[in-house]
Amino acid sequence: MKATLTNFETSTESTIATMTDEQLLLGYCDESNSEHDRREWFAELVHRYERDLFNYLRRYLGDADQADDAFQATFLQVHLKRDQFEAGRAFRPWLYTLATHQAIDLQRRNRRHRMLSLDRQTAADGDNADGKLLDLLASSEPNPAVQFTAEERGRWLSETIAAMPVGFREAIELVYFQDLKYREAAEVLNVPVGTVKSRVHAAVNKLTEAWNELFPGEPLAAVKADET
Amino acid sequence: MTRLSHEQLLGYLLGALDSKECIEIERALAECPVAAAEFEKIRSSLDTVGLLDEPTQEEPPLCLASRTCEFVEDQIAAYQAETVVLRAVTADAIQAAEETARPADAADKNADKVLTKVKLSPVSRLEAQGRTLRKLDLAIACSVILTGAALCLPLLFTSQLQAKITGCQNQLRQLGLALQNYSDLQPDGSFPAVLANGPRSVAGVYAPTLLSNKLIENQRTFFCPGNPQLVASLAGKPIPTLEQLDAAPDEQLEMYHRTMGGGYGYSLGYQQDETLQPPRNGRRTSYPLLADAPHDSQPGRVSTNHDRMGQNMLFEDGQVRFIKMSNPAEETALDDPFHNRLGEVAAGIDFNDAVLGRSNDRPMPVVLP
Repeated sequence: MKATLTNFETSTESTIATMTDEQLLLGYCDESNSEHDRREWFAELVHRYERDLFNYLRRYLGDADQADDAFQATFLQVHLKRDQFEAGRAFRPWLYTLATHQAIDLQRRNRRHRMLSLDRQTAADGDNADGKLLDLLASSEPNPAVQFTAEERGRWLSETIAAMPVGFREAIELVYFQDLKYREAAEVLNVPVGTVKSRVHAAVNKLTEAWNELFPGEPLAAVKADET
Repeated sequence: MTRLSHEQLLGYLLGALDSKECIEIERALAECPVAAAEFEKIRSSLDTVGLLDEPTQEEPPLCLASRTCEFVEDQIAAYQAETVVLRAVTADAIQAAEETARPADAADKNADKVLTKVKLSPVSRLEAQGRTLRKLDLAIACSVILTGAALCLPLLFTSQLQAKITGCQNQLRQLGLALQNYSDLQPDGSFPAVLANGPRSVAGVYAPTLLSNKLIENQRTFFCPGNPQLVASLAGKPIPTLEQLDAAPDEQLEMYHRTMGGGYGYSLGYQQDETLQPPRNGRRTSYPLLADAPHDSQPGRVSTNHDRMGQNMLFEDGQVRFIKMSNPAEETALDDPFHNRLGEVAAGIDFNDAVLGRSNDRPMPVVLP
């Protein structure tokens, strides 16, 4: 009879809630622990990252169904590669590394990887709207005084980041949306920390440019690369 | 004062720096108004474009976490089932394993007759390769080892056999040289003589003769390396000198006769005018003078020294050859080296009739009354 992972006992919930991600995974890896506990710890990990990781994959893949598949595949990898997780390292970047690999694999399998750049034509989400990124970002609303609501601005931000070249997009995704440190993002992307910093810096400047294109009235200053 | 890069300030605002770096930046901003002004400008830009807000997140699909947990459990169960199948080697065992390896959701009572064929996923196959040593792996490993052994052992055996044959040939050459030296010392060029009667009336007399004349120093030269059993059986039974042989009592003499020839058979000479003649050195290329000792139990009295593969023969001209023959009389152009032309184990009936006798063979056939 298969046990259900999601039925938590109230008495253990408080204990599980105080455990770190790393403690949960190491406890899951330790087969001397009871099967019941191990299942609960694994389920807790999945629940903790349900929202963040799904959104990361959703933005990375541009498709909710693919993100759903990649999410499940990522946690299967967590189980399969649990012995490779070393005590002392952070779980979050390790998880995002696995998730990124799964997303890349899924893109390769589905041959739907969209490589976008400022000068590259795109077909966004099945639309056949041709044009450059800056054209996409240009508002159909001619009045620059129109102010975004927080929700609209958030959507604009997501869409603008999604339309960036992959290197910039990955860096800003991990740092802004997934709240990773530079060091952790570098680990996920397998690049030097300095590269992540410069990519985030460039991504912010592209956002600023896009904003200035949208609202030319009061242009925002680009973040310079020189030191103060 | 700490100098700050825009990247650091950006990282601070986005929460991408470690706590230690954050403390340094806060201290530097407190100390440097210029940096603080720049910081405020960057903060304002980020705030405008929305990078200081909480990221907009979609709601995940319904029950994504629960479905994921179930998916992982199913995969684990499938992998365990596959492992059961992978461990089966024979077709019957595979069938039995497939019947028992069912996913948990198919294990209800109403599904007793529903058998699930387990298909291996790349992930499970990859994991199975690293986690378990299956019987199939062992079988393959054993077959590889056995194949290697089958290929190598004959070569090893052959090389050992060849080494012993070569060692035996070297000893025969030494003995051949000693016999040539003996022959050179004789006025008629004869080799050691096997007499018709007395203590010296057996083929093995050649060895005491060479030893007594100091033509061979090491007694081991008389024992073929291809017959270690003989060497072991004769340990502690030294080859006598001619004086010891002549003086030996009957019991001792019989033992000497059986053993003193070592591992080789020597020419019994030939009969001429009803007298026994020793072989005389004519440098004949086809006249065997000494060879691996013949054995009565073998067809054609061939030697057993080299696993019945044949025998080394020293010819009168000094050459040594390995003669592969189960029946020397039938399979070679040689005169039968172990019988005379009358088919007897006795001296040859003429000068060219070579007969090699083992240590205790006599040149004159024993006529039973």
